[in-house]
Amino acid sequence: MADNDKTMNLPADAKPLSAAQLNNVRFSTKHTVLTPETIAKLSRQAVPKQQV
Amino acid sequence: MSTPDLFNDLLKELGVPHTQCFSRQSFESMTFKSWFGLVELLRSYGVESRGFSVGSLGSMADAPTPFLAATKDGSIIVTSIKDGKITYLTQGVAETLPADELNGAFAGQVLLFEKLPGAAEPGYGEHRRADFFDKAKKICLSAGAVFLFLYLFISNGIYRHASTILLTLFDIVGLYLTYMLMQKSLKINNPHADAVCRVLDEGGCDSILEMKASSFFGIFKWSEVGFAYFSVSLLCLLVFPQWTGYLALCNVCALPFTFWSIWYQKFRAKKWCTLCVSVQATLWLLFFCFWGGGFLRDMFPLRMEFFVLGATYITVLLAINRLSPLIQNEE
Repeated sequence: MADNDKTMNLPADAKPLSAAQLNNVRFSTKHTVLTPETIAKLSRQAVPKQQV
Repeated sequence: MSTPDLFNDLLKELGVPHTQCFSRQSFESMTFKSWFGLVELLRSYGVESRGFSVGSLGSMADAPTPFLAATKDGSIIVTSIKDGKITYLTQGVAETLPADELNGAFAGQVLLFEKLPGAAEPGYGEHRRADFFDKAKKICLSAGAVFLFLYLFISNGIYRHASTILLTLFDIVGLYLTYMLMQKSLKINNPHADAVCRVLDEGGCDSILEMKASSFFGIFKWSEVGFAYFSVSLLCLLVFPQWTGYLALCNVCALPFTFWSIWYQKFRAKKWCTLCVSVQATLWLLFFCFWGGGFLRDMFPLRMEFFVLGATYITVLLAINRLSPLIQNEE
């Protein structure tokens, strides 16, 4: 699949995630429905993203 | 009840043949409950995955969908990006938002997929057969219960009086309410219960159920007591309608509890559990039906049948209390 990165039409700033970085993205147990209102609330709480 | 889950939604969007039950169990029993675990799980289904960090979701407009995007509070399945708007699935619900709005909650990671030829759930054929028989068993169980209910409702003349019809109705309502309460206390996800709980106080049900007062000296949960009460009352009404006077007596004995419950929620907990308040209201509605139907006159004298009824309440309560941990483990 590594050879197909270009065919995926990814943005220029896309960087592959390592196994450890994938493991850092955890699944929530809260079953929260991410409605537009919830997304807006999260946006107000968001800290600037760090590019991995 | 089949609750939505991300893995089943993703497999459906990818067009990978799968069964709900096996896929849900596989997802919930992943060793690594993360994207890493998901990548390994999807590989067993014949789907390869690659994770990337990107600056914004809007820049993914030309990437193949569906893909996963990480937000601060969970992952979403992006199903399309068109004209600056992103359509995604969250807990089975489809939403659409402008990319700029979604970017504020975007955590920066995406997971893309490639479905290989022949991708499918391992053992799909066998699971489909098992699923079919499982559904058939559930349908037969429901049909049997409905048939028996209707037979008893008609043959024992319950339908002839408005008071007994209402007693049956309120017992069923009470049974469903205490069933939802039991699910909440066992931490079993039920969107209907969550919707009811939001009526009086968001998170009120969960708060009350975590307090010591939600159980009888830590021995029985009040939800178990309620479920035993309504189930035995309903069965007794259907099978032995001649004992309705004793059901009225048991109901009158339960009424003081309703005052304590409301007092506790208002003055001690300072939170309202909508399900609990609804159960108290149901107990009072039952009382008015007993009163209106003249059954309070039949409460005395007490005969052996009253004590048999009491023993049945206790036995069913003990059985529910015994089975609860097993149900919790299975879920």
